[in-house]
Amino acid sequence: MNAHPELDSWAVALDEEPLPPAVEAHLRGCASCAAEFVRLRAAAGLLGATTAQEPPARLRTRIMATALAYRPTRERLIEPYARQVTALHGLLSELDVRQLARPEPHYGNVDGVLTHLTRNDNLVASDLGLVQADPAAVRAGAREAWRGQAVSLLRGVELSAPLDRPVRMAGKAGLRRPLRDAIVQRTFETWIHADDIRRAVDRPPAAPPREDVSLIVALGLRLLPVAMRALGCEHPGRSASLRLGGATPLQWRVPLSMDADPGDEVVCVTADAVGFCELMANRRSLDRFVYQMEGDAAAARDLLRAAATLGCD
Amino acid sequence: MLKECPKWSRAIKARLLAGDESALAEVYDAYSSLVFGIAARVLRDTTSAEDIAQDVFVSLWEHPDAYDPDRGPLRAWLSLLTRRRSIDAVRRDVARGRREAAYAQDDLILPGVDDGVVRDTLAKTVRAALAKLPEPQRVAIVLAYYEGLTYLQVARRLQVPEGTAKSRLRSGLRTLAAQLETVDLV
Repeated sequence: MNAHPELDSWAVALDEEPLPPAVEAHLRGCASCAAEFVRLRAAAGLLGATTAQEPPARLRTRIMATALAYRPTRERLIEPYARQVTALHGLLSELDVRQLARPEPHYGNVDGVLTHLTRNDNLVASDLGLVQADPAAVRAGAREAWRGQAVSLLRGVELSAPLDRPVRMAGKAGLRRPLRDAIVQRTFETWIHADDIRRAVDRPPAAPPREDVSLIVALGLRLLPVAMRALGCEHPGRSASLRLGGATPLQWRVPLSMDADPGDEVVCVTADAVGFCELMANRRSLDRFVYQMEGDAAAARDLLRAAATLGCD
Repeated sequence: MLKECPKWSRAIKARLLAGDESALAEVYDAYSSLVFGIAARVLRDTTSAEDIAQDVFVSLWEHPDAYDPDRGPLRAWLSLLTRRRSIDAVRRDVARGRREAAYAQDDLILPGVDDGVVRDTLAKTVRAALAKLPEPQRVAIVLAYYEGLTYLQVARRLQVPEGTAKSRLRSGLRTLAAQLETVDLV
């Protein structure tokens, strides 16, 4: 074996991720070392079995929820969006003529809100080549136009659209992201505008279920490094942890820059998940956002400042 | 699960790639004690160990492609990744002065808990194989594995020449692999 020092150096360091290039190159060309590498790696992997220890039962729930929020399955993407489309449709069908005319501070009135939402939904619908709401249809009937396009979007995603396909996202940054992210953004925006309408007609806001909120938080956190760069407030080589939720919060690790290495955790922020979504949507100002933090206060402030730019208005 | 079947490793990777959440649950049920145990041993703190376990399983779910079944069992991939991330976390803590790098010398003979409470057959078998190594090799391996020491640091810690530390690590791992092969684990 001494004729193959590359493998020896690995056996001494046990390093992974990535394998040193010299080792990698050698393993590709030397079948006996490649076999030996698999054998030694299996042994090194088994060493850890000596300290096996049952984790607390709650860890399973927490990890499954976090994993599925970061990379949702198709059903877990569609159901939350379908829930919001149904909720908004239900709300609209209950409004009378006087309520439809009530002033709404962001978009004038209910139809103004829907026209805006329809335009943002259209970015995804047109990138997927689905049935779209054209401007004339929106002028003729904002409610029907919104709903027709939303249903077509739902069907398109449900049936076949590849979740990794890049499509246009709404928002200032003009990003293209995988469809998976765009659908979560549609869920988010549909919820936020349904709440805009509820407020205009003096109804209480209605937050989505907890798992749906987790999807939205996870999307926001994926976009956060980009937003921090855009604001010029990155903290390179640093990360934060975010504990969001009620009694059993989910914990998220957030890099505070676009660096590949998430680096040293400098602050832990604890807050309500729905409140954090409202902050992202620009429906709650940073001054009214309640949070606790431990660690670097400036990093926490910059994180929240960047989060507040992630809305779709 | 004792020895990981290569067919299972390949099938599970395919299911993870397809976004089948039951595959993640299956991997979690098979390997959470392994992952959590390594992190808890390296970090000496179960709260941080939960965070590392989350990082490891979520990263497998997000990037199943990072695991290559041709390079060995998923178990090895998960445990080496856990080890690396745990060691990195300890280093960050040490850099911040939050953690004293104080390790009791007797821990180095065999890591972890009393044999009496090890109910897990796999853990028992591997501990038995590890116990068969000559002590200098075993100490070197445990130092490198759980504290992430390089061979230079192992040499310094054990006050032996660098070449000696290197050869103890190298032959220790080979002897261990041979031992585990006799009980059909490798």
